[in-house]
Amino acid sequence: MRTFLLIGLLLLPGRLLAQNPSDETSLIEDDEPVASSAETLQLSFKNRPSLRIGEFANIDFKTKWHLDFRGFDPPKWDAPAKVTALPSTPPTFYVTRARLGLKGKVTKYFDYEIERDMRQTVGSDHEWHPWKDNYVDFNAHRWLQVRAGKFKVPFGMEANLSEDRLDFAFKSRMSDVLAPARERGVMLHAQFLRSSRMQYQVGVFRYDGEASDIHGVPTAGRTYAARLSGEPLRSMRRLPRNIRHIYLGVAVTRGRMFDGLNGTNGSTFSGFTYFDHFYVRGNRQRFGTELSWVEGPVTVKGKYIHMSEERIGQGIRGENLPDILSRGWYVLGGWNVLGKLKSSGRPKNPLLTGRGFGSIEVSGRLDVLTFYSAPGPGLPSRSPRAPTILPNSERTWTFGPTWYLNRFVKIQAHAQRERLTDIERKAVIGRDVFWTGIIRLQLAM
Amino acid sequence: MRNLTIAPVLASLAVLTFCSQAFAQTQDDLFNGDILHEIRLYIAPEDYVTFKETNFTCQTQELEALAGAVISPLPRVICHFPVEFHWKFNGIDITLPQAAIESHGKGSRSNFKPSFKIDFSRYESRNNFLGLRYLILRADTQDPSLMHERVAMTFFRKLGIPAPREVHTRLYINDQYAGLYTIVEAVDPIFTQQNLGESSGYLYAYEWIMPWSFADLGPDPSKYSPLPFKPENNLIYPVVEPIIEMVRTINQAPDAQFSSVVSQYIDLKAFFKEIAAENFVAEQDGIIGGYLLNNFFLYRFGGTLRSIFLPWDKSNSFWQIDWPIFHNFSSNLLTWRSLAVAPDLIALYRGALQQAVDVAGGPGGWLEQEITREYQQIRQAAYDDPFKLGDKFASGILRPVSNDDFDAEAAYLIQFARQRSAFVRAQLNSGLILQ
Repeated sequence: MRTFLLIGLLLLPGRLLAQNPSDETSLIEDDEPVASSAETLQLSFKNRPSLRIGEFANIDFKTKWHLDFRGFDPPKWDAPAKVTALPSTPPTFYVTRARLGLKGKVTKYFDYEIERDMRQTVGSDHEWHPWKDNYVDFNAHRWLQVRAGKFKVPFGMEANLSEDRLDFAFKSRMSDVLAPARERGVMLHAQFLRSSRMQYQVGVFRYDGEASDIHGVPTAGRTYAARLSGEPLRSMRRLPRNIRHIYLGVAVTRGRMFDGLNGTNGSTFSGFTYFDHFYVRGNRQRFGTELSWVEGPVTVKGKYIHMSEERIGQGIRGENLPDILSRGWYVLGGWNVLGKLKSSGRPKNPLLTGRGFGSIEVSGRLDVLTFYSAPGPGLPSRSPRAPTILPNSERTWTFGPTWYLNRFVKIQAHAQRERLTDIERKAVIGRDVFWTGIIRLQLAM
Repeated sequence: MRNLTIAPVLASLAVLTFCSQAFAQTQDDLFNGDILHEIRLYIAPEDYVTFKETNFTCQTQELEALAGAVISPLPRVICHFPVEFHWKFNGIDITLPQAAIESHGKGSRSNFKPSFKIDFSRYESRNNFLGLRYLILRADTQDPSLMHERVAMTFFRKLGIPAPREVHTRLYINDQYAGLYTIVEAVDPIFTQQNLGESSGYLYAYEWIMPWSFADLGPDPSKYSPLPFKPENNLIYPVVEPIIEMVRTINQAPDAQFSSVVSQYIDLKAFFKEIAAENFVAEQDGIIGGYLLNNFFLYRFGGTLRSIFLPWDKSNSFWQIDWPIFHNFSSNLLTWRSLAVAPDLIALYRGALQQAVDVAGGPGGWLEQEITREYQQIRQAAYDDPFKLGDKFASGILRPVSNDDFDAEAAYLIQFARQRSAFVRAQLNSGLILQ
């Protein structure tokens, strides 16, 4: 009953306010125009609750909710934030996002954002990092912006996309494991070669990103990241038109790991570990490439990440060991079967806030994640100090429809099938296939 | 992808290669009580430091996690460490290069002389050592004689009770002598297969979290498992309902049908034999010990409701020579109701006690011979052990044990062996004496 009450309360403003959800710049640009006023203080509800202080500043209110109904096979999970507990029965209803925040500008020079996840407040599970994007962006020059605070490390297309704009209710496993996610730092960034929509991002961060944390504790120190992305083929007029707007990106990170059992690890969506942490000392490096192509109702995306972690002096007798290597890639295809979507991912004919029924997209994704090591002395083993690591990999299929009702509401019904290569690791003995199903109601503003 | 295909094959070859030297040896060789064994562990020095740092935290954390606690403010605690395992037997070094250790014990836990659980299969789940997946290296930190555990378990096995096999070993860690230890066979599905002829049932380790004596805890399975009945297999589906039924039956079975009804859930013949053996060796911390139920495994046979109790941790045995034969019977619902309404079960118990008397013998009997043999075997290794600890009166404080203390406790054991049978026989002959 509480669940339905919560859903009802959250749906209400979406129906009444008829405003635009957004937290990405591109989405704000997609907002419906707000009539200007001569008043110094102007409170608007057109796109979202927004307070304008003349030309000096504006404050936009934003929120994001993911209400999930989930099922697992086997019907158990290793609950997040529990240590060495026996597998437990997961709840069917789960709030995975409950975010509130502010976003806006102060003069033409500063952008800012403040966001916090309130899941613990609404009684969901433990959140190691409740503060999300909290930064100030200084627009120093057309080719130079400086962002400082906590924000997403510029690595990975999927990891850098706002969660309410993801194609699936599940992020790819490789993005979850190999991309760094948010971190505190300073980043220089800007668009350049506007004809090709190129963007550069170069930053230095205090740690390696929250995704590589273990129970909220960082596993690597100061990390440098750089990313170059855009549509470089746009200027090549000889290429076919539908090829020229392919989006391409490349990114790297490098950071010094903290000594100890801090190597990356692999686990199923239900939390069962299939590749444990290894002892590391030295640098962690990532290299990633990404591609996205949208043509009419069809979307194709792909991504590749390679990560290496050094193990200097980590043998049982102090000898150097070969690097841990992690490699992941995915290919995603989507087809907009009913209705039309704007480039921002909003339906052209929305339900409730317009006269249509929204838009329905059907998507599928193959995602492969592999852990192994460079060849070393001895034969492969799963020991955290093994010279040669016995590989393991996870092959994940994700598929299902997404119904974009309007700017605020999206319903996703997705299934995920994870298959492990080495089932002898301690996930669930004898099980190599794990199914997860999610019906998600997303409300974002 | 080819790497992924080849790797498991190579891993299997690795296991075969490293274990090939061990093919000539068997579990009987490892548990050959005629010799003092030698085990060497190699561990990264920083791991051994961490092991000692987390030795006590790991135990707490495991219990908290089993109880469903959310460990939010604590950083992760590392409790397993990779080691190279070497067993020297008849001049041959039999090695397993990738085993794991974790700390072991409750009241006996010590950083001065830690106990270890060796997990041969943690990193290779099909891996084993002579067919064993685990071994315990007990530091015997509560027992100044270093022999209670081995003598008691050897006695239990002689009585036909499925008890772990145990022998003594010199233990070296990174080539430094770490002391005299007892190698203890783990109670796991391999053990039940070898001793009970099956492993398809449900095995639980009893974790002492509060004094409990089979009082009915109600219909909620979480009151029984994962604590105090911690599942050792079938972690995903640890069917607990038969335990709830077993306890309810112990509490509510009609007096007239007590034996027949309870026997649907418990192998009562085996249970009273175990109780008899425990009371014969004056076990202070067993199923009906001073802390109520403790130190046992419960195994429920596959496809049945019937369970058997398996003994564990006998370091507080040989408590006193005049330990009454019905000691603590009133503190446990099963033994108390048996005493009150089931003379057939008490007859079983008395019969098992008589068997214990006969097997142990008096002066010069089997028990004295066994203690003498073990003492002579381990004496020099015990003298060389600078880490000996003891807690003779179960005060909860482990104290250093000198060579004189060791000799004195061994002498007491001899005295126990010479006098205990006569005392028990006298109590059996004097009729029912309830303490």
